[in-house]
Amino acid sequence: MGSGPGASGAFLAGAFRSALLHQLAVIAVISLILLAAWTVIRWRFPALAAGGGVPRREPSARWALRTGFGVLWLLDGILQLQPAMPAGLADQVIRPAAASSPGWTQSLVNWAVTLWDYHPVTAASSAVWIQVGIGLALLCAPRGPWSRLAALAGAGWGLAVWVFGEAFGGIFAPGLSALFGAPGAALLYAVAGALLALPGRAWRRRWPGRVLLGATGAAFLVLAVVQAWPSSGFWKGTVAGKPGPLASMIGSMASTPQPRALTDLLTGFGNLARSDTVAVNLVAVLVLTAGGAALAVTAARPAPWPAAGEPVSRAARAQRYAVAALAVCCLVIWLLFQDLGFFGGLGTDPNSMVPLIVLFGAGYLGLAPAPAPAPAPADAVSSREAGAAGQRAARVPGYAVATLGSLAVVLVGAVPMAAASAQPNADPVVAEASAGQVSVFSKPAPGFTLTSQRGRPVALSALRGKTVLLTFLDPVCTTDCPVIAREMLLADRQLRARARAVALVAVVANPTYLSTAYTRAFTRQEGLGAAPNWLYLTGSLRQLRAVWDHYGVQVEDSPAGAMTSHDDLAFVISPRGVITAELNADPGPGTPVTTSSFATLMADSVRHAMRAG
Amino acid sequence: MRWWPGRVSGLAAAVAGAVILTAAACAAPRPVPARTGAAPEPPAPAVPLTTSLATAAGSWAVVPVSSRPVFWQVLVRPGTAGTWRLDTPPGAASNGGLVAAAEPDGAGGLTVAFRPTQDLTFTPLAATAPGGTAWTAAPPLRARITASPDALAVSGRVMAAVAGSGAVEASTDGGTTWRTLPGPAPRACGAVRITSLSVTGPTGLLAGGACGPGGTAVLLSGALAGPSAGWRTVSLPVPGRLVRLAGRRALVRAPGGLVVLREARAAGRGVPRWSASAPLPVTGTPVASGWLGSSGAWALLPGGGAAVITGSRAAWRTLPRVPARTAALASGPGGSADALAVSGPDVVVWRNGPSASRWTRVQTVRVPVQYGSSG
Repeated sequence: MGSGPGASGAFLAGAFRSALLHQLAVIAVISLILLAAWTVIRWRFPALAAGGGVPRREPSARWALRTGFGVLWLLDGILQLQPAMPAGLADQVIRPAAASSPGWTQSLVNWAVTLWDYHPVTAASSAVWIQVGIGLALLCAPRGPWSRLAALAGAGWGLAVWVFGEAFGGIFAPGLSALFGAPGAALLYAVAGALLALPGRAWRRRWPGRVLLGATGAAFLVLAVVQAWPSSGFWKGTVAGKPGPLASMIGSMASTPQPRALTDLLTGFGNLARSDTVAVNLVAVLVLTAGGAALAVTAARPAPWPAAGEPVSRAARAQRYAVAALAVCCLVIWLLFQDLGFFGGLGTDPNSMVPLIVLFGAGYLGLAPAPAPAPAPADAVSSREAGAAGQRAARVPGYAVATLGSLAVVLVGAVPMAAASAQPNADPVVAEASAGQVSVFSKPAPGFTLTSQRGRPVALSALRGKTVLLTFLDPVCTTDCPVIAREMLLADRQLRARARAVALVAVVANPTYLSTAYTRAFTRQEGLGAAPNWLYLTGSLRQLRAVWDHYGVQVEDSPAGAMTSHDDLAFVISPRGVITAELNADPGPGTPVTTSSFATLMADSVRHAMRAG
Repeated sequence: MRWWPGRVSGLAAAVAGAVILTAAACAAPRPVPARTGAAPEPPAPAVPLTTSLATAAGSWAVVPVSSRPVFWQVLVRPGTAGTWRLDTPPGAASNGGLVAAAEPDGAGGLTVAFRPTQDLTFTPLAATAPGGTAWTAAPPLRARITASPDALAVSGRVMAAVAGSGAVEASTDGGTTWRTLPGPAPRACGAVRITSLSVTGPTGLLAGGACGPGGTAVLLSGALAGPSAGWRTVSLPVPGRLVRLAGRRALVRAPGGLVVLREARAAGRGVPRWSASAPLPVTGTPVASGWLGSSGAWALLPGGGAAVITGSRAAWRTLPRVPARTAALASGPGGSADALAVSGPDVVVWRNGPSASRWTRVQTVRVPVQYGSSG
C-alpha cells in the first residue's frame, strides 16, 4: 500500500474521475434501453416475458457463496474508485508484490504493469466497472445461465487478477504466509466463481459443500505447515538486527494511512510479535492447524443436518461451533495481520480472510439438504392455462434483465481495456499529467530562415502545405533533448503515411554549440538521418536569438559546467502557417511510458492541426 | 453429472465473456525500447582527470568541485597574474569530466573536451582564443573520449583523441573531419591499450599506454597521414607504468620511483632518444599529476606529499605537506607553486614560494555549484 501520488497523480485522478463519469453515462443509457425493452416486453409480449415453470429455491450454500462474493466484488469495485489508483496501483502495489517472485512471474506481472502504466486511466476505470459489474451480476442472478455466466466472468477476472495483479498470490516467492494473504485473495474469488458456474443441479447435492470444506481445510493445513516451517523465519523476532518477518509485516501495515485506533492496535500487536514472536507464531500455527483439521473432518464425516424443530446432535453442534470459531479466528487474523486490507488509498480488496470465511461458510451450509421446490402459486397454473397476460407480468424474470445490465457494465470496462491493450502507444494522459495539457490557440507562426544540418537554407515559409512540429533542442544536451527528439521520431512513426505531410523541425537552443557540425552530430546520435522530414536548423547567434524571442523560448548559459538551460517547448504549425498548439515538451523522467505518451500527444496534436488545415 | 446438454447458448456466452475478459486482462502494449542511445556512465578513470598545465596564456587547472553531482571546472591564472578565476567553458555539461590539452610548445590557449554523460554519445570540444579570454566551440569528436587526462592532443589544426573504445581518432582540419587510425599491433609484451596522445608535428603522433596484462608502459610513434599509422615502438630508458604523456615528455612510475622521461634529438642525426630524470621514491600511483612549464611536472602523492620537477636536468623537489583537500598543484607566479584545495563550493588557493617552507592561503574562488540542469 502506498500513499497518494503527487501533482501528476492529481491530474490522473481528475482524468480518472472524468472517465468514470463518461462511462457512468454510457451505463445509464444502457440501463434505460434495457429498462425500456423490458417494459415493452412485459406489456406487449407477455408470453416472452413470463418465467418458465416454477422456480426452485436456490440452495443456501450457493446463495451464501453468490451473495458473499457478489458483495465482495462490489466492494472491490468501489475500492478501485480510489483516486490514487491510476497513478499508484501498478508501481506501488502490483510491481512490489511481484518483486520477490521468480523472473518468469515478474515477466508476467510486467505485462499487466506495462498495460496499466501505458493506459492508467483506462485500466483503472475498467477495473472499476468489471468488478462492479461482476458483483452486481452475481447479486442479481440467483440461478440459471445468467447466474453461471456472471460466475464465470468472476472466475476469469479473479484468475487474471491473481496471475497478473497478485503474482500468483506470492506462492512462488519466499515468505509465503496465510496470515498475510497467501495464496492470494483473487484465487479465492476465482474458485468461488468456478463453483458458482456449476449447474444448479450440482448444488442440490452435498458434494460441492464437502469439496469446499475439504479444500479449504486442506489449504489451512498446508499453510499451517508453511507457517511452522523453521526456515521460513516466522519464529524469529529479529533477523540481522531488524524485525523478523512477522513483526516487519505488521509494522509496515501499521504505517499505512488509516484510523488512529487501528494504527495503535497494530503498533501494539507488532511490538508483541517482536517480543513474543514464538508465542504469536505458535498461536497462528495452532489456529491454522485446528481450523484446517476441523474443516477436513467436517468434510469427511459431516454430521446429519438437523431438520427444523429437531434437536441438534452433539456432532452437528460441535461442527457448527468449530466452523464459527474458525470464522472468528479468521476475523481476528484479518484485523491484526491483514489490517482489514483496504486502507492506504491503494487497497483493492479486503485480503484473503473474508473470502475464506465465505468459502468455508458456504461449504458448511452445503451440507444441508437441498430445499424442496417452492410450491407453485395457485394462480400460476390457472393463468398459464388461461393465458392471461396481465397475471404473468408478476413473474417476468426481471433479474435476467438486471443481470444483462450488470454484464453490460462488465463490458463497459472490459471493451476499453481490450482496445487499450491492442494499442502499442501510451495514452497521452500520461504526458499531460507530467507536463500539463496542450495549449490550443491560433496565431501566425513567426517566420525564420535558418540553415539545416546539411548546410542548406530553410525558410519556415517554404514548409507551407506541411504541418510543422517545431521544437528547440540543445545539440550537446545530455538529458531532455535526445528524449524529445526520440518522441518526435516516435510521433512521426505513429502518423504513418500522414508523416509525408509533416516536417519535424528543431532549432538549436545553445548559444555556444550552434554550428552545423553539432546539428549533424546530434542527428547522427539520434538516428534521425533516416527521417526524410527531419530538419535541425541553426544559424548565427543573432539569428537564433531572434527565433528564440519570437517563440518565447528562454535560452541561457549556466555557469560552472552546467548545461545550457532552455525551455522545452514544442509548437504545432498548421499547413497554413498558423500555430495551433503549444506543448510543454519537458519529457519528465524520460521513461519508455512517458516517451511513448509524449509521442502520442504530439501525433494527436499534429493530426488536429491537419484536420484544422 | 451430465449437466451440459441444453446449456450450449449459456456456455457460448460464457466463452465469449471469458475471451473478452482474458483479452482485456492478458494483452499489453509492447514497451518502447529503452533509450537506445544511452550508455552507462564512464568508469572512474585509472589516472585522475584532475590536472594542471601551463600555456603562454597562463596557468590552467582542471578540478572537480562539489560531490553530488560532481561538476568539473577549469580555473585559470592568466599570464603573470597572482590570482585565479573560474573559466569553465559554458554551454555543455561538465559532470562527465573534462580533458584538457594545450599546444606542445605551450603557445596559444587551451582545448577542452567534455566527457559525455547520459544520452550524449559524442564529445563536445571548446577552445580558447590564444589570449584565453573567451571560449568558442570547436567541432565535436564523433565518439566518447576516454577517461584519461591525456586523451586529447592538439597542435594547430591537428587534433587527436582516444575514444572510449580505445581507438585513436585523428583530424588534420581542426576537427571538421575525423578518421579512425588503425590500432597498434600486439607487441612482445602483449596487446597495447592506448590511453594518452600527443601531437609531435604536422603528421607525427605519439601514443602512450599500457601493454599486456602487466600494463607495462609503452610509447608508440605514428603518423597521422597515410593509409596506416605505422606505429613504431619507442625505446624507453626505464621500464614502468605510464602515468602521463604530454608533448615529448612522459611521467612513468618506474621500479625506482616516479621519473620524467623526456625526448631529445641527438645532434646531427635526428634520431630521437629518451632520457629519464632521477626517480622520486614513491609508493603507489600519484593522487594527481600535471605539468609545469614546457618541461616540468608535479605529482601529488598519497598521504599529502607533493613534489615538483622543473628543468630538464633538475631533480625532484619535495614540497611541504600540502593543505588538506588539495586537488591539484599548478604553476604560481614568480616560480612559486600553487595548491588548489577544493572545499565544498570553494577552491582555496595556497601558495608556496620558491624557497618557502610552508603554504600560504592567498585566495578563495567560489564556484556556483550546480545541482543538475535543464536542457
